[in-house]
Amino acid sequence: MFDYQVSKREFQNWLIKMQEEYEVWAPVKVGKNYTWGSWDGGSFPDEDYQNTLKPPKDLFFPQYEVLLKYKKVKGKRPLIIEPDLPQEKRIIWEVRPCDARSLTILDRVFINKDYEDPYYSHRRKNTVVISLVCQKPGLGCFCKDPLTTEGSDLMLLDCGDTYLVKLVSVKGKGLIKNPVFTADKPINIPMELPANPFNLEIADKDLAEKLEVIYRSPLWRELQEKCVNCGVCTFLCPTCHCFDLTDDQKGKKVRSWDSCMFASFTKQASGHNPRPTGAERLRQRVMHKFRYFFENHGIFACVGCGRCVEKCPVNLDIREVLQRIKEVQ
Amino acid sequence: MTVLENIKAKAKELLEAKEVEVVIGFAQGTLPGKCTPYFARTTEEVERFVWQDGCNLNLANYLSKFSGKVGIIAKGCDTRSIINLIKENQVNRERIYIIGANCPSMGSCHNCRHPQGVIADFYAEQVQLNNQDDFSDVEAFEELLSEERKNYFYQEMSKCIRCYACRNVCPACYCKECFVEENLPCWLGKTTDLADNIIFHLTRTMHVAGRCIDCGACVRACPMEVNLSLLNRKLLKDIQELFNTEPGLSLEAEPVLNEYKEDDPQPFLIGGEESV
Ligand code: SF4
Ligand code: SF4
Ligand code: SF4
Ligand code: SF4
Repeated sequence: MFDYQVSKREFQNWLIKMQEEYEVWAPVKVGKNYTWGSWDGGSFPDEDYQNTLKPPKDLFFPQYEVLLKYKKVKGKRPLIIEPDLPQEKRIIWEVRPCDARSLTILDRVFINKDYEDPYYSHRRKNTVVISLVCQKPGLGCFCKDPLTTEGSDLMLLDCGDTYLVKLVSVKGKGLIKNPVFTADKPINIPMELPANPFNLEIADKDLAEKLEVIYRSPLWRELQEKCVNCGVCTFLCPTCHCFDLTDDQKGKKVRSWDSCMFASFTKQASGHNPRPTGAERLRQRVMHKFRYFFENHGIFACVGCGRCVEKCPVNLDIREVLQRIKEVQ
Repeated sequence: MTVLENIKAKAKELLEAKEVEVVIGFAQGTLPGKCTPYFARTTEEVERFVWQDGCNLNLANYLSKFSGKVGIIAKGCDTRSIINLIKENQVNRERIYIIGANCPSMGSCHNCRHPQGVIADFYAEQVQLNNQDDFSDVEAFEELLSEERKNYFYQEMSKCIRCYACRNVCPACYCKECFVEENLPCWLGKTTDLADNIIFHLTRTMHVAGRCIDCGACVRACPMEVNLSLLNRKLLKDIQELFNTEPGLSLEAEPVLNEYKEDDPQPFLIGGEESV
């Protein structure tokens, strides 16, 4: 059920009005691909818009950022310069529902009862997420529900010349307090949405239990044989959130994405590496997503966006990995 | 018999006779048009091999994963990388059995000159192809104004997310410890700042110069579609023009940058032009 039906023109005008107060971000086509960029006030997604190459996590937890700067001061403690926290108000729209949902997974990591990451949480609080329902899943997609509203503030469904709009969160409702949008009664979805072609039912909790049992299985060695331990699957994953902290020569403390698939990820100062081969690394990636995260937060750290499936240079397909795990007796 | 049948028959023969413990090849991938590296250890597993458009990674990259005797299905590029790996003492010739076959992805690379294997223990097909690499893509780029070249180069470099897929699929990038991972102290920032990205790519390009055989595996592996080909091919063109040679064509020839001759052309030095 959706709440409003609006013409795309009306919606565009509304969004342009919003630009007075908000930075509006949208998928911008660069070459053949889409990347997150500033909305030009006129473009709507093409027919071929599947999803952005890089997930929207980059807008909240950027690939690298300076956390603080420091200076040596003679005879005193070093001077620490904290950066201004991001204050801009943003709307990001045309976010796919899987990616909107991924933000709720990142929230559990960066905003929880033990710790709140100020950089992430400022961006998150100041951003409104408007999602756009997928009507044609991509080749690697395996989300459970293309209509999930988790993580969205508003949700759109493209109906040709119009959008159906669903009010999801208080933040979303607040945005259209003087509705230019009108509707008499809730609107049903007028078309058949495709069922997922590759439904692994990954959200069954047997998987987490199975993973506990097969920790020492030779399966990992077999599955990882073709893996080259690059950062594609983790960097492009909307839920992967491991990072590294480094100090540069000029007194900047920098946080940058890191990947459990890199050989250097667990290398210790002594030179010892507790995850010496690809088998331990692939196991870690799968265990973290489908067991540890599930145990800690009751949800898998994978939304089935399919980026890792489509972009892995050696076609090591996570769907196949999960299938093989399910088949182990 | 088709090429694939020849490949399979040879692979089975090798495994049955225990001449090798594994044969490296390709199987059908999970997405349309994709093939995936596959390691057959039994004659049944050999049945999964395919040889078609999409078999476009460089399988030489996997040789060092195995310590015993290995069979490998190798197209032109893979054999040239194997030659380099043998010469650089990364792979022992005695340990590998090369099943040569023409590249099945013909047409996807810029006028490939060596689609057929340069060395092999067995050829699954015998077609001699002769193309001329004209480097017209590099020449067209060289024609641009320096500002235009810089802008294009910056634009490509800024797309990079430093996932290192390009490096990790490259058979020439076999360093156990890459300079990008040096961290005591850090040689290179871990950011995707343009400067860090450029240093990564230029250093890597120079490190594979004279060894890169332009297989394009790095370009295809890149999720961000960074045009790495231009850098690699510029160096190949220079090597061709300055030293009249191509990497990975013979087991005997010294890799071009491993050698110094007094009359080496040095057009990059001041007054160097004259010494040509
Ligand atoms: S993208 Fe593929 S090759 Fe790269 S680390 Fe992930 S699974 Fe391995
Ligand atoms: S693991 Fe793969 S499919 Fe799942 S959310 Fe990450 S990139 Fe998407
Ligand atoms: S640099 Fe790229 S083209 Fe050159 S050998 Fe390595 S993977 Fe192949
Ligand atoms: S594969 Fe592409 S994105 Fe990854 S490091 Fe290489 S150039 Fe950068």
